[in-house]
Formats: sequence, C-alpha cells, structure tokens
Amino acid sequence: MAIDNTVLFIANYVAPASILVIMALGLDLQWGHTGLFNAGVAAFVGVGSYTFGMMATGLRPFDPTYGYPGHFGPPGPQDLILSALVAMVVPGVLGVLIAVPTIKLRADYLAIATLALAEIIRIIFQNATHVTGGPLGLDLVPRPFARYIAGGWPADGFFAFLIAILVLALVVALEYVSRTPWGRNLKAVREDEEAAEALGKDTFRLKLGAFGLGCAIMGLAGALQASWLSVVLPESFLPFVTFTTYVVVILGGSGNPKGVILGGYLFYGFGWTIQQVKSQRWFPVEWGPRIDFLNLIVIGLVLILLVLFRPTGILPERKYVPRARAKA
Amino acid sequence: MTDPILVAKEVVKSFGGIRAVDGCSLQVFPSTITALIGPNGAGKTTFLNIVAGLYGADSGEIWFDRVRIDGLPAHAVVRGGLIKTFQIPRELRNFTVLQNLMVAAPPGPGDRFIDLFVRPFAIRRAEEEVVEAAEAVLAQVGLTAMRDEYAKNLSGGQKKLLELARALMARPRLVLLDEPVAGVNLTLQKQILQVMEGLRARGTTFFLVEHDMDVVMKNSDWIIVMHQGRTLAEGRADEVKANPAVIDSYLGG
Repeated sequence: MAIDNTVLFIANYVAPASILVIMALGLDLQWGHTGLFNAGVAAFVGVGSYTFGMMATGLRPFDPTYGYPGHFGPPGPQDLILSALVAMVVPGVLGVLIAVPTIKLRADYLAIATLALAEIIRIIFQNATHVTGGPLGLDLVPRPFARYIAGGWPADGFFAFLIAILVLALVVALEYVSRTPWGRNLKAVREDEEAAEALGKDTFRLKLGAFGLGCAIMGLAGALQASWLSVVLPESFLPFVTFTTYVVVILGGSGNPKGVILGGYLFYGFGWTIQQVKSQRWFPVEWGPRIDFLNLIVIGLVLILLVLFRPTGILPERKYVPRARAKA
Repeated sequence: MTDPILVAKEVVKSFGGIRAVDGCSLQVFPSTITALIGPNGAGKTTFLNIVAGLYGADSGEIWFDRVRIDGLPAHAVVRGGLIKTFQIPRELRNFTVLQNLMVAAPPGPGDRFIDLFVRPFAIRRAEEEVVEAAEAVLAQVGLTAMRDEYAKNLSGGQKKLLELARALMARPRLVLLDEPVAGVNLTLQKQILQVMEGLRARGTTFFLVEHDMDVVMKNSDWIIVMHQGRTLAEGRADEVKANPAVIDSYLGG
C-alpha cells in the first residue's frame, strides 16, 4: 500500500473515531460523573455542527441556479477558532436552558425533555429550509489550515492528527477535573444527590455546570464533524447517535475519561473493521445489508453482556487512594 | 443564661392531609446534648429535615445562631455550620471512606469550576490539608482501618460511624443526629457517645432524635418530648421521666 492510501486508511479511522470519543467525553461528564441522563446527545452535537457550519461559511442566500434554499449565518465566513468556540457556547447555553426547569425534578424528566428536544431540533434542521438549508444542509464547510495543506491524503492526515491531539488534550483536562474537589462533588451527586446536598454541596449548580459543559463538548464534536465531512446534513443527527454515544461510555467505563477513549476507538474500530471486510468482497454483494445488521446485533449483544458481567466497563473508575498524611 | 443556638417558632409541615409537624416551637442551647424523643410518627425526623433545610416548612420560623434559616437551601444551611445525619446511613457507596469524608469538607478553592484552571496549586495544597483533616476525624471515630475501603462494604454500625464522621468533617457548630445509635452494638454505641461528649466539651452542640431511652436519659443534658407534631414537655432526664403526660404518651408505665 502506498503512503497516500495508508494515510487515508488511518485518517478515515482516526478522525471519525476521535469525534465519537469527544461526544462520549461530553456525555461521560454528564452521565458518567454526575448521573444526568441526557437522551438528546444528537441534538447538542447537531447544534454544534450547524453553528460551526454557518459561522465558518457565512450567510448563503437562496440560489435559484442550483435550487439551494440558502442558510442563515454571519455576513461572511468567520475565523474557524471563533466558529468552534461559538459552536461550543450555543449548545452549552441550550443545554443549560433545557436543564434549568427539568434538572430539579427527578432524573427521568431531564431524559424526557432532552429526548423531545432532540426530535424537535432534528425536525427544525430538516424543515427550517431557509435557515438550515433544509434537507440539503450546509456544504463547503472548511477545514483548519486548508490554505497551507494540499487536498487529498495530506489534508485528511493532518486533520486526523489534529483531532487526535485535541482528544488527548481534552482527556488530560477531564482526568484532572475528575480528580479535583469539583469533580468529586459531581460524583457525589451521582452517588446520592440528597446526601450531597446535606453535606453542603450546591447540587443544582453542580448539575447545571456539568450539563452545560458536557453539551459544549458535544458541540465541539459537532463542529469537528462538520469540518471533517465538509457538509452538515440533518440525517446525521438521528437518535442512533445518542445511543452510540451511550454504548461507548458504557463499554469503556463510565466516570473514567481514559476508559471512554478506549471505548470510543474500540467501538468505532469494530464498525470500521466490518466495513473493511465488506469492501473486500469475500461475500456476495447482496450480503452487504445483512452484514450491516449483523453489526447492530453484535453491538446489542456486547452491550447486554457488558451490563450483565462487567457493568463498570472495560476500564472502571479508579479507586482514589492518596498517600497517608497523618503522622502515625 | 446564654442565647439558644437553635430556635424554632410555630413550625408547621403537612404531607397531604397529615400535619406531621403541627406548630412545633423549641429551643436548643449551645454546648449541650439535647434529645428529641417521642412516639413513632410524632414528627421528629420531619422536624429535623425542616431544620436542615431538606424540607421546606409550610409556616413558622427557624433561627440558627440569630440567623433565620428557614427557606434556605440545605447546602447553605450546612455552610452556616449546621449539619444533619440520616436515620438510615446515606453513604456514597462507590466512594471510599476517606472520600466520603472529603466530600463533606468545608468549601475550599477546588469547589468552584473556574478555580480548577486558575489556581491548580492552591487546590492541590488544600486537598492535602483535607486528607489530613479527614484522617484526623477517622482516627477520632475509630475508622482509620477502613480509610480506603469502599463505603458500600462497611457494616451497618460502621456506616453509622461514617455518618457521624462525615458530619464532623464539616466542622459544624450544631449537629442534628437522627437515631445515631439505633441498631449499633454496645461497644460502638459507647464509641459514638464518647466522640459526642468530647466534641461537646469543645463547644459543639448536638441535637438528636433517639429511641434508645437508656442512651437518651444517661447522655443528654436536656430532653424535649414531641407528640403529634408539637412539643409536649421538656426538662432534665428525671423531670421528663416523672412527667405524667410523657409517661402516658410515650414512655409507658
């Protein structure tokens, strides 16, 4: 295999897998750390994707030549770093807005509210034609440093590398946060919210913070996905995305960012391997869809087995044992 | 006489049609062990939960150290120096014993998200101090050997000790204890009472609900009897024991 194909081959695994990992890291903060059941991961990723796409490409008017309905955005293309930041802030704020009225209630209410939100948002993506580009979505979303790097395999390789670095930075940051008193407070809320409150923790603020931050991280994943694919389409944000993210967190080990990374790369690697097998034409072509379904069946099976035999995931949360400080 | 540390005035709380607390007024004085006794359903636990801010009262006032605390959220009450333990231990199961105590430490630099990235070194130093303080409390209640055990693996009695230890970790001035020695063997009971006695000598106030009359009569400075949501009588152990209304409603002949 030549260098170009090798790079493409690796990049096409690393980039989407890393995006999945980032989504899962956001969910791990909410669900793994704080016990908040977010059933609308797809919506927050989607809002991040659309926000980034609109910011990065700028307003597009209706275009009768191609029948493109146009989409909303700032007057011109914006800086990509700024676009990514806005793509984190918008879903973060959206998350806080949905959480404020529901997070004080029992856990199920947040789940129901986010589930409904995800469907509403997806239908808006699909049908608010002149704002989101409707079924055609956004296209020509740029990649960072595109000016300096040749298209094709160098561009894909560089972007995959960039995302991988970002994942690394994010995990280092989250591992740190997880070990601070703030992170411990989140876990206390997960263990027993009333007890945490009775021990002097402002559980409402903690939950709000974790939820908003998690949604912002999901937004970042959405922005990266928009940039990687260069298009944003409404059907990329089906409930399946939410389900997948949960599987990653459960597989890797909820409450442990390192576990979530492992879960993400393993899980994506599995689907990817199946696609590779399919493309080898070892089987008759009409088996293709069967292999796709087989993929889903195996994932479901793995999930059931995990919950039964290793509910803590592959890499469970580590026990915290600091050195003894008291003089014996 | 010194001012009371806790004052409740005409506190009312209903659940559906039941008035669990029905105009309860009482005072607790500093550096005492004050017991709240009464038959099941008298409203004792409900009353403690209202004082701790876990339930809102329908009406009435609660003053802690001359600050009105009814209506404040529970975490704000705790930060003011008033903490409550649970009748059935509410240990954080997947936390170690040490971590359970660390959660209860008074707010430090690491409790605010923004500080995590602004003052990482201050947080590390504060954490070391918290570990040290937690170890001291563990030694005090005799749980040192369990330091790194998951809380879910403790015995029932040890969980009671953990409840007490966690409350002490917050360095409170007033501790509300909901049945601190229920279901605890005698040795452990003695240990719990010793810890309380030691802290009271240094100025901490204890207000407890307890059904074990031996413990109550021997260890409390003041006893308040609650019946049908209000105070029925109060006094020293011998006074309460001799009160015909108390005998009638609770102690029995």
